[in-house]
Amino acid sequence: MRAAPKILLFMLIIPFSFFVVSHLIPLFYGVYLSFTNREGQFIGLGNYIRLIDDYRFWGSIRFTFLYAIASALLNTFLGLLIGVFISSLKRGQGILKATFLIPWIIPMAIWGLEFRIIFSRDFGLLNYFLLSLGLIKEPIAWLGEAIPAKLSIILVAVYRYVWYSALLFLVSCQNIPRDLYEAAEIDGATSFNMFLHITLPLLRRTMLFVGSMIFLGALQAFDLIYALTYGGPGYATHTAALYIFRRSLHYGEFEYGTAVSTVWALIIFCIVGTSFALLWKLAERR
Amino acid sequence: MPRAIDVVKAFLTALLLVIVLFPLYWTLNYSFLPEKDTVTYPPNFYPRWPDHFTIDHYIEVVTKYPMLRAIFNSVVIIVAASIVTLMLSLPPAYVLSKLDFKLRDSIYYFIMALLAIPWVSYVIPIYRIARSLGLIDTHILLIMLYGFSGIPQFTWLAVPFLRSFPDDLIDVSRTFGLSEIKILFLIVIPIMRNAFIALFILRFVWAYSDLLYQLVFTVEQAKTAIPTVLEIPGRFVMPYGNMASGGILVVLPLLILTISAHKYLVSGITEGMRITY
Repeated sequence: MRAAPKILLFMLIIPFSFFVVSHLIPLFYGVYLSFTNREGQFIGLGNYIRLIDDYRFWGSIRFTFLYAIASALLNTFLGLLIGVFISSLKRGQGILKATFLIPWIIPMAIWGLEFRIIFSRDFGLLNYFLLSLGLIKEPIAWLGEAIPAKLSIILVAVYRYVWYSALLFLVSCQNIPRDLYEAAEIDGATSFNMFLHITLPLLRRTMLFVGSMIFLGALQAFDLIYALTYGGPGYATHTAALYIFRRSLHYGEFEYGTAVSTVWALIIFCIVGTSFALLWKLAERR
Repeated sequence: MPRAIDVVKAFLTALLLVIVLFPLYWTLNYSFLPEKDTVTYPPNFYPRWPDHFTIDHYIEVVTKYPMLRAIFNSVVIIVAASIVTLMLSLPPAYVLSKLDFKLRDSIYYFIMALLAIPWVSYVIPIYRIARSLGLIDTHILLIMLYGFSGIPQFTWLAVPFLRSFPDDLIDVSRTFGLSEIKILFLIVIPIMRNAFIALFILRFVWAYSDLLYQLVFTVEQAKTAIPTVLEIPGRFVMPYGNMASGGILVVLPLLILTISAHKYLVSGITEGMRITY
């Protein structure tokens, strides 16, 4: 049915204007602030010129993308394996489905706290395992050195999200018609062949969906890093969101912070826009 | 005799269960270990009564930090905000999925595009505005922010549910003279309540777990659970026991909610995923 203007006003425009007033107008106010200095004077592109040489900002962007790509790939791949495995089970699917929600319920910040205990250099479980298996000779300061800290963050992100992606794969596996497999079995296909030629192609859309959702969420990473490493050691594990947060709210450089966040929002917007357009084209091609 | 493959599968299933539940178990373990047992090598795998078991960490976290008040704040704020989010995102979702008008698709894509804007870009200017309005550290600010920030996302999430609602039922209601708003609230929402309860839980869990807004906009009065628990680890000392017990307390409301509404959650989410693809 065609909507009357009155209905559009009350059911679309008014509800949505709450978001516009509380978020979009501040966003544009932030863009305005990015052209001013602390005294409120208009300084043109000053903040943006300063940003070009801000190697910490570019470093934080590099780590954000490393983190987002790694967690998207690992979560999609491992989630696919786990989801397909569970869909092949005859018993126990229900309990696995229910327990897989538990990691998702626990807030990312609490995961950070929990893994500070596990990653502890002297008393942590991870070092205990690796030492007693003889995989490392000396205890590793997981959160105290740059590369282990980056690995730790990615590890926790995968540990938390892989169950969610497994659930999504499980549901789409169950949506694949049974007779496809039966027909293949009659033709003498092995289960590995069926996985390769039936399951995988039919899960392509889910893979793109899961991968892009996790990628998009990971670009915004803040909670986990705040709780686990606080961006340390040094600036090694700063993500863009954490860097912007610290610049503006800890060091009080609001105007510079808004310039950084404007650039960051534009970067995300361009990359997300183009990559999604490409991905959905790919998915629809079948 | 069971086939070898079944044994392997059963073993893998058990292994998955252990891995999934392990972080929660490990936190529970540390929350009951006395301080001296949290800093041993090798680590203690379980608390043993009476010498290696204590509830002191829970008492300490509740008395030394405003933990109970913070959790209460969180629950009150987020329940109110989640209701606001749903009330404001279901009508747009209904209009976008069941009614025809010019620019409908453009508006839908515009809403999707909003999802790509990072939260941190909103936070700084909102902080400036809220500070000049004297709203920092008030409950109402957080209720408004969490209530309104979810509108694009929950509109987008609700559209597939509403699209799957049978058009005939809506047409019949129209012939009885019901307005569109009444159709949404008196017909559609009651019939699809499982899905909307699932959306409510989703909003609750996300907003309760979010750190950024709670960290920036609360100081003391309206301080919520997540920023409070993150103050437990010190700069140089790591009170592992307190961190663990604080974490457990913060997670409790989420566990209670999701376990009691488990039915809706699983059916709602699974249904949502079925419709989305």
